[in-house]
Amino acid sequence: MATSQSNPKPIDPKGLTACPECDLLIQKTTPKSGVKGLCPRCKCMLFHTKKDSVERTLILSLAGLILFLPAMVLPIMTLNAMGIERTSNILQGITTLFQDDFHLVAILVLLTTVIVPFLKLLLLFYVSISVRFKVNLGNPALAFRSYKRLDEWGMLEVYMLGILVSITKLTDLAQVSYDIGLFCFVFLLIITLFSSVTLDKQQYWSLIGRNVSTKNG
Amino acid sequence: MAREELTALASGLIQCPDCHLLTEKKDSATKTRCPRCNAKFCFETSASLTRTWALLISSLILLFPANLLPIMTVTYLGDKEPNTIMDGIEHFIQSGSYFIALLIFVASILVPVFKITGVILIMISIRKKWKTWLRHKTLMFRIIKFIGRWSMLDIFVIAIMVTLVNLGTLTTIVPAPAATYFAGVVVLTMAAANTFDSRLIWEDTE
Repeated sequence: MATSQSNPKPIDPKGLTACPECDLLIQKTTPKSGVKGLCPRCKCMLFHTKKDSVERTLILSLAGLILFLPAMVLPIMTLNAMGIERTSNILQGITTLFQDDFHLVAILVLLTTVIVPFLKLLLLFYVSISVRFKVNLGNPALAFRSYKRLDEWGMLEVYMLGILVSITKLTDLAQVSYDIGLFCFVFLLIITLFSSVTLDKQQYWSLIGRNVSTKNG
Repeated sequence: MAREELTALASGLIQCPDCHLLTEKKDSATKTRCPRCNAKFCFETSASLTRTWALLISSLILLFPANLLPIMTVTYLGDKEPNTIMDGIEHFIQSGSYFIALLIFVASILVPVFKITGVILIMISIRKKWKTWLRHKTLMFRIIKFIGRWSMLDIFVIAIMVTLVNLGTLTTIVPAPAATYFAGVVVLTMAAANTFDSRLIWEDTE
């Protein structure tokens, strides 16, 4: 077998693909929608085709953008103890951390629960629009690359778990009630999760690639 | 199936780390960019490994203050009580919330320790050129990448608690120094998993 030290003569990459986790060369196939493909060597998922990926992702990202503001500013829950009432939403949690001089923690929470989730929806909306309607405005390749890099830093579902833990912790101390903001937040979370489920990354890349080659040629 | 054990790099090809496009490898591969998505190609073994080591060691150092110092201070009727992560878990056990206690223990203590030791094991096995358990190591790395973000749970709980539990003289909760160190552990371990290139596990195994 060849080693990577020697400088081998390149073979034609056409019709081939490589596993992103172990670099194994694999014959490319044209799968039907709804099919998963695994790498034969390391069992990494190579592709997972989705039905109507672009249309569904486009709609979901738009819905997420509409829900974003209410989910962030409406009160999520209210604590009632001996006549004192405290409501909380995501932004208040961040400003309190700032006031307590925990700037780094506050910035991290701001990034992972507000800025990155918003950017993810916005980038997904923009890329979906440009591949669906073949508009070559701006740089969809850069946008989709940024989406991929930002993906794991959006932590809405972890925050949801944090809300549940806080509720359990506080029910011993006082009366806790839920507010409209919690429902907006849960919907935003579900939409964000669904948008990453309907997203077929390989299809997006090949559509972006088609746009790039028509631009250059 | 003739190509079953041949990697892209060994065939003079290079795969884009971002959009997975396969192209011919140029001689000055360190300077080239992907023709489709313009990402930088870097299949530089030493740079990836050095960065991962640096981030791992930093997170290992921060792990100690994160667990030993108080993460929040609870004031109840004028009594100040500093709480470490472990104290918080004990409170949950005492109040009978075993499931929540387990959840916090896994997210705040087990996951960071598992991540750091897991990546260190993979890094050592690459340095020592141990060519066994390759598929298991890849699976472990995949799990490490997936669970990393869930460690943020404790930070989010604190962010919610400090706003809600602010009841004047009755009781207040304020964050304490370990919050910053713990956030640092989460960010650094996630960054370490990102800089590590999992293809290095399989390099030179054919």
